[in-house]
Order: sequence, then structure tokens, then C-alpha cells
Amino acid sequence: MKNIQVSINAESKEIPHNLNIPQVLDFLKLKDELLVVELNEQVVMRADWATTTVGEGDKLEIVKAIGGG
Amino acid sequence: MSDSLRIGVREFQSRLMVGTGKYANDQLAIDAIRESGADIVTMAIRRVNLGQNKDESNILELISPNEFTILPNTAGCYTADESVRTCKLARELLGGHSLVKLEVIGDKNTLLPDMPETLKAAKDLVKEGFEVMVYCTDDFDYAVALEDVGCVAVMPLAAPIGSGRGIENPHTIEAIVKTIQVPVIVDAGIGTASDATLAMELGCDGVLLNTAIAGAQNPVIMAAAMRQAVKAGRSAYLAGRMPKSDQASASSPLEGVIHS
Repeated sequence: MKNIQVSINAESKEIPHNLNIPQVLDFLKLKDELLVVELNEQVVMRADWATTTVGEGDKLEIVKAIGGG
Repeated sequence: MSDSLRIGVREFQSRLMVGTGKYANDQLAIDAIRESGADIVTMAIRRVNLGQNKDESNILELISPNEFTILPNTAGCYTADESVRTCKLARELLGGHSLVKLEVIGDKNTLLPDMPETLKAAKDLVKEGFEVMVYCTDDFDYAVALEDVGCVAVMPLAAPIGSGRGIENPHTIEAIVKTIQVPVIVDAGIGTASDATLAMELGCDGVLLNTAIAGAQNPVIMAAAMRQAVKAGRSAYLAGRMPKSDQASASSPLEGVIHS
């Protein structure tokens, strides 16, 4: 299956076709705990991660908490 | 005597809130934050680094929601829409937690808030079910407006973020405190312990600071100083200070003095 082009944290990335959110995180070698994911500007609830697949042209944001005031 | 701080439906023992940024290392951060006695601890929400250190630590492992009330902020947001998105991400990250610190910055150099945009964001967030603690200028009318739209705490700045200049307009802070009903928390610009004490003596309900501790030569000692300063200022406010006078007034009785 061919790869697809997506935007992840405003970077253009090529990822395999038909991955769900945990598979995307695994592909990016990110630990999936303590992260939150937005797909096309909508938060993806953790309960929906497994059933949410990423398609051509999708925009993902993957964020975490950091130190701040 | 119990003197807890009530913010919305929540109750806190400490009136000092601290940030988690700018520490030289993680251990110093947690040591100073614990020493401060703070219940509420702020954090920022940022993109993860792609393709970098896979094992980098996550601040939520160090500063756990089991130990502190995490107050995610919208630092770095310049529009209401960005800040609402950030709060929604934070809510999901923290398992449905709805207490947030709203800040909408207007200018990257002064870091002063964009108040029209802040007010718009506050309305949107309240509508979305968030409990909004709002960072704002020390503008009286905006402070009142932010309470009116349903913010659970109004947090005027003492001075610009990270400036450490102390309370530049104590009279406006005092006017805000005397007028609005929700807690008033001085947020940003505190430089040292006496600034925190003054905020509390003016009647503020709490103080939120970050750089004053993280940027001190010894953050752990400064954290203890801030804890004590906030308590001292609060006690002085509750005690009610003596009136100021232009005249001196001897403390020792004048009768019975030995005169030659």
C-alpha cells in the first residue's frame, strides 16, 4: 500500500496508509502516554484513538505538557 | 483558623501558585515547587518534538496531578481561537480537568495581554464548560467584565511577565479587589518576597509566580520565602493594619520619665 502525505505538528510527513492514532504514534516512535492528539483541529478523545484512521492531507497536532508559568 | 482559598467549587490551602518553567533542571523544579507549598501548579501545552529524544521526560511524570492541581495555561496564544483549542487539548490530556489559566498575548515583546481577545476567549471557554482563571492587565473595567462573563478568578499582572518589577499599580489592584467577588490573584511581575506580601496586604486572594522562584540564585530558599511572604501578607490583611499618620506617637508612656 502506498504512503500518504500528512501534516504533523506543521511538518510535512509521509506515513503508511490507513494507520490509526496509536499506530501513527508508534510510527513516530512516540510513547503514547501523556500525549494528546488533534486531528484537523478537533481533539481526538483517547477512547477514539483506535478507531480513528489518518488519511491523505490530514493535519495532526501531537502535544504534551511542559514547564510554564 | 481555616483560611482556605475557594476558586469555583474547589478549595485550596495555599494561596501561592507557582509555575514550572525556566528551572535549570527537573530536580530543582520539583524541590522548589514542593518547598513553596503550592497546591496549584501551572504548565504549558506544546507540540512534541518529532524525531528527537524518544525517552525525554514528561513533566507530568515529575509533577503529578495526584500531588498538585495542574493549571494548564494558554501561554503563547495570540487569539481566542488558539487559546480555546489549547484548553481543549489540555482538558483531554488531563482527563477531563476543566480548570485553566487563560492568557492571550497581544505583543511578543511586552507579553502584555490582548484584552479584547482575552474577553472573547473567556466567554467562549465559559460556554464550553471551562473554569477560567484569567490573566489580565490591571485594568479595572476589564477585570469587572471578566468576572461578569463567568471567570472563576481574575488575575491582573503586577508588572510584565518575567520582569520582576513588583506591583506597579497597587491602587488599581486594590480597586479591583474591593469591587469584584471572585478571587483576585496577582499573576506575573512579582520579583521578591516583599512584592508577594504587598499583593496579599492589598487584599488579593493569592499570588501566582514563576520566574521569581526559578530565576532566584537559590530557588528552593526563595520558594520558602514566597510561602512565608504570602502567609505574612494574608495575616496582615486579615489583622487590619494600623492607620498611617503624619504625626509621631510615642509607644512608651510619657509620664514618669526621669528628668534632671
